[in-house]
Amino acid sequence: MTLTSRDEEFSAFVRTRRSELLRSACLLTAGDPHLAEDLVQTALAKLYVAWPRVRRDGTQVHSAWRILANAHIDELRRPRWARERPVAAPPDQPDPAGPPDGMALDAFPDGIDGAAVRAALAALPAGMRAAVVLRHWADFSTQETARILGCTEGTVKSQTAKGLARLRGLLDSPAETVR
Amino acid sequence: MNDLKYLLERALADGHGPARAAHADPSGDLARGKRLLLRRARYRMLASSAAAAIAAAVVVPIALSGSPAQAGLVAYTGTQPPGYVVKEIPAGWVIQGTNAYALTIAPASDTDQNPDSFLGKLVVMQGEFSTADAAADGWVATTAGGRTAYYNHGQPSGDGTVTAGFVIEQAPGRWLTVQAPASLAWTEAQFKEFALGVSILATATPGQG
Repeated sequence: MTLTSRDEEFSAFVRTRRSELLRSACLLTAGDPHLAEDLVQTALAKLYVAWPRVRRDGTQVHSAWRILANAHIDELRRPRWARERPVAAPPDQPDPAGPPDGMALDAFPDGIDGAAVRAALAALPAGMRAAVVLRHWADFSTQETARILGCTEGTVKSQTAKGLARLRGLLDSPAETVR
Repeated sequence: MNDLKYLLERALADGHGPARAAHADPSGDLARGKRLLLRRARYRMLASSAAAAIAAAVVVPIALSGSPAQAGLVAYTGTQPPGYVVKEIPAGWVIQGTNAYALTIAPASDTDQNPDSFLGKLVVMQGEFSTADAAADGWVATTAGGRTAYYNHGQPSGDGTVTAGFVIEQAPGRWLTVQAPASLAWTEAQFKEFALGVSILATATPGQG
């Protein structure tokens, strides 16, 4: 197989970034590794097609994330999939009390297992989940997250704040709110 | 007290996420990317042909036989491209490039030097071909060199497509595909002559996805 410089550069990118993308995709899908693999495959194929442009612009990483996030949101919009999980009470409202005094916004109580986290993630709307994962898992700045998701920084701040509040509401009493 | 990152890490446990790996094998993603690139290139080529036909308000069907071609076949005397053996190419055309998926031949004067861009070029690849759907898609069964083949002269459909194609079976289930732009004005006989002069070596990879 003859490799072009495009192939070599893309391969190098995949070698170093795929694991990170797949782990993040697993969070975007709330713990569905098979769907996550599909999303990453789709995203990387599209990235290969766009490689000359993203390489020229120096946006390989952001573009990979943007394609992945969009693929995730598109997947959830498919009518044949019913990914919403029933909950006892609509968790739409942020916890009005907020975190206890002295607790950071992204700090959570001990004793929460992975299943509860996955269920709480699944209860978040796709865009909100993507904002939380990009900001608090992938460590992108607000500006970078806004660029990846194609929205304003204000929207990112709003979505992550609401997302954290909803996660807190769900994880503080997972047995009552997440089934 | 746990921070969110720690909790998200926990969500990936128990088989719900892969372990952190330093390096991943890129071969699968590379192959999928190339297949997608080929599909999009084909789509662009068809769409461009349709647009050109509509803009000109004239449709030029490619003759099935008889008329002289704009660019007849001449012996190829240059270096054989990796993965392929080519006996003849259109006069005035050059082998622009090749990879494991496609061989691209273009006019020597073509300003588009990207071998991954197929617009207005002659493209050879190997892959699958559905004989069951052939008739519905405008392919006409024929033979070439004693082998099963199908010819699509690009008779304009509703969208004005005039891209011509030819496929010839290399082995059961494996087909060599030739795509030619309408500008080349090849006859079926020229498609056969060209296709029979191309061999795809074992190093090439199916390019149809």
